[in-house]
Amino acid sequence: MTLPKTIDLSAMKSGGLIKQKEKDFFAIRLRTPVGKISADHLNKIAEVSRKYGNGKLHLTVRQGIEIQGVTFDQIQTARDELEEAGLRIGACGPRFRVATACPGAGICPNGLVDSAGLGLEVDETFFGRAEGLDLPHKFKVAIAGCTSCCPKPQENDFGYQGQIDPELIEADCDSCGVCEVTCKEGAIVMGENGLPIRDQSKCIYCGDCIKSCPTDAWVPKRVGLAAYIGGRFGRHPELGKKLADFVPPEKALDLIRSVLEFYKKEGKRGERLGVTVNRVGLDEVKRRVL
Amino acid sequence: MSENEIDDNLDLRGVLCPINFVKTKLKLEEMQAGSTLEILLDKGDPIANVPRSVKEEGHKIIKVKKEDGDFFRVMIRKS
Ligand code: SF4
Ligand code: SF4
Ligand code: SF4
Repeated sequence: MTLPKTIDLSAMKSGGLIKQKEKDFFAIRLRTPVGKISADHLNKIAEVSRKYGNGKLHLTVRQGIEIQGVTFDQIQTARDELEEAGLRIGACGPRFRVATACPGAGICPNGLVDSAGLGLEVDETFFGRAEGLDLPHKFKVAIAGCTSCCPKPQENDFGYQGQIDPELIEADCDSCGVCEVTCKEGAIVMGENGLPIRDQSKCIYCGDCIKSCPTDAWVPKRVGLAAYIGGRFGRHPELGKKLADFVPPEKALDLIRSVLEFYKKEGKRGERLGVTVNRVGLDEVKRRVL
Repeated sequence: MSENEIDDNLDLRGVLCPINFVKTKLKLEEMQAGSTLEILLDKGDPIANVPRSVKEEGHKIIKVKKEDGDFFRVMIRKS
């Protein structure tokens, strides 16, 4: 096969093209951060798939879309057409991957933080070369709006999860006992004086007590992000370890940046962050990045 | 508050989320502003979710009482 003259090899190297099993066929991986996509863009993807692919798409487990069955000589044209419509190409290899997140507080009734908004910011800031820090291996981030952790932040190299710290305004409490039965962690018991008592050591900061209280006697004292580091799946799965609680959302990007700098410095080539963290030790990692 | 002040009631024991909330909402829509609806809700998800959703719709929860047999008596004032 001869290479078409228009093909931009450097653009190919930036990733997002996956060689298929069949000779000369590739899948184009799109960059759809947090899985949010407009109907217009979906139409465009459908059009490009029919025109240059085989009319089949793959929805990846990381909220991405891949256009399958594009022949090598059509890749550049297909890419140009996608980019013209404002669609971007995803990443593969040792890069900062497209950020994933759940819809979060803007959509989901359980949401405590705007996970989707933060995910978009993270993606905009670090996608691909992670601000020029070439990384030892791939780097995946997931952000969950609450403690239900739907997008699995603990299965990613780095994850955030919304959390909320409740505080009782005693004067507003009606002693109804709803919070006691609502708390799934058994962290609340009704005291003799008719007021709920919270055992902080059992509390996972889910905010269910705040949401369920009929008189709004439980109020948020602080809202923030729990940070997890070093999770991964693959051949040797491991859950991420808790790096910090109540990271203020406005500091969220800074913490990821410190973690990336640490990884760049300490990670061996081809080593996922979790392995680096295990080697260096979590306490030392905390000392370095927090 | 005495029993007489309840304008309507719904026994939602055994009714799952979100059907219990939808039934409450439909009932409230039939009722006049300022009137009182009493509902019975199981403990667990129903008591955690329904009062919260009713509150978010702008109505007022005026009383919640835990009853023997793992259910709650919830009084709602329609906005
Ligand atoms: S993690 Fe929480 S906020 Fe996000 S989708 Fe799941 S329940 Fe909703
Ligand atoms: S749910 Fe609210 S009013 Fe009822 S006991 Fe708990 S804090 Fe008090
Ligand atoms: S925040 Fe969640 S875990 Fe903590 S006391 Fe409230 S309901 Fe229980």
